[in-house]
Formats: sequence, C-alpha cells, structure tokens
Amino acid sequence: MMCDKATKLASDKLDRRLSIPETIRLRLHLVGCDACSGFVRQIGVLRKASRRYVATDVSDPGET
Amino acid sequence: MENAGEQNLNGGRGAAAPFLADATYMAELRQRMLKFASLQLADPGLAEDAVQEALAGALRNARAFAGRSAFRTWVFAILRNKIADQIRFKRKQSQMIAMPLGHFPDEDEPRYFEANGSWAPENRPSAWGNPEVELLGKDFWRVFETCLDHLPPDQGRVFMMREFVEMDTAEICAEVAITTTNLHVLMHRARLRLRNCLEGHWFAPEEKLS
Repeated sequence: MMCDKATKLASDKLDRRLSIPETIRLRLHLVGCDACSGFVRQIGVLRKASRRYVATDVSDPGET
Repeated sequence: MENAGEQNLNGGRGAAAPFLADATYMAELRQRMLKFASLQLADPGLAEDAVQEALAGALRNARAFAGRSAFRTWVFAILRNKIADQIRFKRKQSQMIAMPLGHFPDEDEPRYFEANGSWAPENRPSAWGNPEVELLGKDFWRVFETCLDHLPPDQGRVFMMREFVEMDTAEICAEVAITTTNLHVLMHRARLRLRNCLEGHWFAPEEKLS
C-alpha cells in the first residue's frame, strides 16, 4: 500500500471502524513510513484542536 | 441584537461577571457564534435563532461563570446542541435537505501524492514536535481559523459537522445527501488540506520528514 491509500485509511479510522485487513495493512505501512506516521499524529492534533476550538475563548486577548 | 442578553443581565440578577456587561466583548462573541452557526445551518434565520437561544440560555446561568473562558465554553456547548437539534429537526421535515453538496472533483485538490501514491515532496508531512493543544495560544487559533476558512466550502461544512458539532457520519450524510464513501473522501481531503495549511503557517515551515 502506498501513502495515498494509507492516509485515507488513517483518516477513515477517525470516522469508521476499519476492517481487520485494513488495520493490518495500515499498521504495516506505518511501521516503514515516517511521513504517514506523522500524518496520523497530526490528524489526531486536528481533532483535538477542533474540540478545543469550540470550547475555548480563542480570540479573547483579555484573559489568559 | 446582543441587547437581549444585556437586558437579562442588567435585570437585577445581582453580581453578574463584569465581562457580560462589556458590549464589545459580547458583540464579538455573538459574531463568532453566528459565524459558527451559519457554517452549519443553511438558513441565516435559523442560525440567528440558534445563537439567540444559546446566548439566552447561557445568560440565565451567567452568574455561575467567573471567567470568560468558562462562559464561552458553556455558550458554545449550548450552541452546538442547538445546531445539532436544528439539523435533526430539519431532516425530519423531509421536504428540506437543506444544502446538498455539489460534485467534488479532485482536480481542484492540491497534488499531495505522486502518481505512484507516494508523498509529493512539497506536501510531505514535517515533524510538528509534540503540540499540546491546551497550550496553544491565540496566535495559533487565528491561524487555525484562517486555515478553516480556506477549506473549500463542502469540505469545511462536513469537517465542522464532524469535528466541531461532533455529529456521527450517518447524520452528516443524511444532512448533506452524500454517501458515506463520499463523506470519507471529503474528510480525508479536508484533513490533508488543514494539515498542510497548519504546517505551512504554524508548526513546521521548514524541515520535512524523510
């Protein structure tokens, strides 16, 4: 599997349950691919940041 | 429009937090809420209503909030629920599936990958370090908002429904009349695009992971 498919599975994983073969293929790819492993961590940051964004006073200069 | 709130809070309810009397702050908060709601709800009137209701609901308990952050968290939590209710309600009125998405051809997408499926060098992820979202300051959030604004509208809508309003995929698909497969494609593209934008403007303007 190449990086385009691996990132798609990694993204899907946040929205649906992957099948067992998909999970295995993704893991195998990630073991050998720093860039895609970075992608996985980063979309996790995106998710956390989105939730934080909704919950935080991000534009308020008056309070720290 | 923020006057509805101010009447409440000047209505003899005792020591309301001072920021609630700050008209500029309240106007800005309202603007942000409206922007957030408008991205989710097709009808400006509905967005307006959701914001009004959320503000009114939050202000009823405003004395409980000592700080702006806590208040904002609360008011956005209410707003998020209002929006989700609206979307569910609208779907029940089956005559209106409000904003069906158009086609989403991928020729408009940046070229993230080479023809063989490997990362295109210019879009290959760089190291971000280990960011704690709790510690990111307002400059980051400004970049984050800008990157969100730059998502193509279809991607922005489903991304926000999924990640901000936290709707499940079935609800989103019903609302925007797309298949689950297409939703997953849009989410993948939105994440690639946001990732790229945040990296280029915040996390790692320079070095690439090899």
